[in-house]
Amino acid sequence: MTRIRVDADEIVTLGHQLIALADALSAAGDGSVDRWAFGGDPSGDAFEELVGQWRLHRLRLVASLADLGEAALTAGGVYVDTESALAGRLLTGGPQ
Amino acid sequence: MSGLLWPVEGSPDALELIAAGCQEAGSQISDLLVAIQGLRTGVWDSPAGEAFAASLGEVSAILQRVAMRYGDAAGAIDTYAAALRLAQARAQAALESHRDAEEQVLSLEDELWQLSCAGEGAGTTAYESALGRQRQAVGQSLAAEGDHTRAAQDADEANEVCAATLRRIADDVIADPVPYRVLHTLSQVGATMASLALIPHPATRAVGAVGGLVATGADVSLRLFYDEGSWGDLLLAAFFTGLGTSGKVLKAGSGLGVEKGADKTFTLTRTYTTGERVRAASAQRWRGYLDSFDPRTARSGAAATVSATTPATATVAGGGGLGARLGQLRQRAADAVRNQVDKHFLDGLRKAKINDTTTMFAAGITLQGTSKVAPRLVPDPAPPPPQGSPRPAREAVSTAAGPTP
Repeated sequence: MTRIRVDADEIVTLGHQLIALADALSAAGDGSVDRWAFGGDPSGDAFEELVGQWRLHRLRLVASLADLGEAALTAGGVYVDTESALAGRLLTGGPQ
Repeated sequence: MSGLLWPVEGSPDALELIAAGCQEAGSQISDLLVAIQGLRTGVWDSPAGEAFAASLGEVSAILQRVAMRYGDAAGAIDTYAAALRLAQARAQAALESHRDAEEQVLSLEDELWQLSCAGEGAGTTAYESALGRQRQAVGQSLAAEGDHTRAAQDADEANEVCAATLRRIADDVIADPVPYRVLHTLSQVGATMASLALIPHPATRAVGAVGGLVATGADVSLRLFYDEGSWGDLLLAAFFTGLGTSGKVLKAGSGLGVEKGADKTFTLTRTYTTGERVRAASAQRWRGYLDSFDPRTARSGAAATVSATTPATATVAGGGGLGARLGQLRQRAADAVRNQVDKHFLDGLRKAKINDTTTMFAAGITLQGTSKVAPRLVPDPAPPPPQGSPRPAREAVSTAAGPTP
């Protein structure tokens, strides 16, 4: 028999974290607005490259994080509902 | 002595904020990685949890790399901020010392001049004293320039070191591959060029058309090779590229069913629904497009250009002096512009008012944009009815659309 040990609230929290990170990464700019602070080339260019030129992986990461976040939220919600229903039945002596 | 000295560029305060932001981003990602690791130690100990953790495996590797990127960058930027702050302070001190010394030199120059005028020239105690103080001020100015140069050099060196560190950090497995960068740059540049098409000039419209093609090609390549974007987005972009054509269709459709008589009055001859107007005007445009490939139509169009231009030339040539000819030309051009405006805009608007399709007409004008309307204010010779053509295009369109009450 498969043993299941789940902390539903933790899973929901993780889902929120994953989605928040996906949002933050999707809104990440290319660094051009901050390059003035470096006082010009070449560090301004390098910073822009560092922040902006991982776009391909960033967009894929955003998609993955959003999917996994939603999955975690869904699963966590189902576990919470199941635990609530189970607790209610145990307390009221309803159908097992 | 040289002129003014300038402050060293850059903002250490802003750099520290950027570094703090990078540090925070790196920490948040690291915290998330810890939470992900926790999944395997009891938070979600089930088959579903194992599957989920396995899905997170690849994501975790990239997240680790991102966290390292931001964390390492924060350190490099902080170091640069400290060096820049120091260099700027030294440069600022040198700048102020230089300014004071310059002011002193000029003041002593006046003093020396006045002493000379008063008969206390070279060799007198007062003159030699003032001259000595001026030499000291010049020395201070030169020393300040040297300090400023060294401070600026130190800032440049710190800038180079920071750049080298950031580039080393950015050179990792998640950096964009070169072909991807090229395609993305082409997409951005092409989109910028395409926006030039809104400027009402043939050259900018040509550049805009080329830019649109470049951007679309790059976007399709990104979709094909990197799975970026969607075909729906690409179709939408193509649709918006064709808005100019859509505008023409709407404008033409808004005037269908109203005829202009010889006495310049407008008469409602047929009613159309909005859908029928769009279909009929689209058919009209399509027919015009096909006619452009018909050699007979093309020849008659060329003949029309000649025949419409020749009489004007003859009339002008028969006039008096150059001034009179120019006046006639201006008058003719003004008449042609008025006729063109009347033909292309006012007639359309009047028809639209009778049809109660003013909104559709306005939408057509808006979509076409100034780029489509303004160049037409320069008179084009009106083509005569095509020879050998069974009937005018307008009749053909009306028939093609068919009446619907």
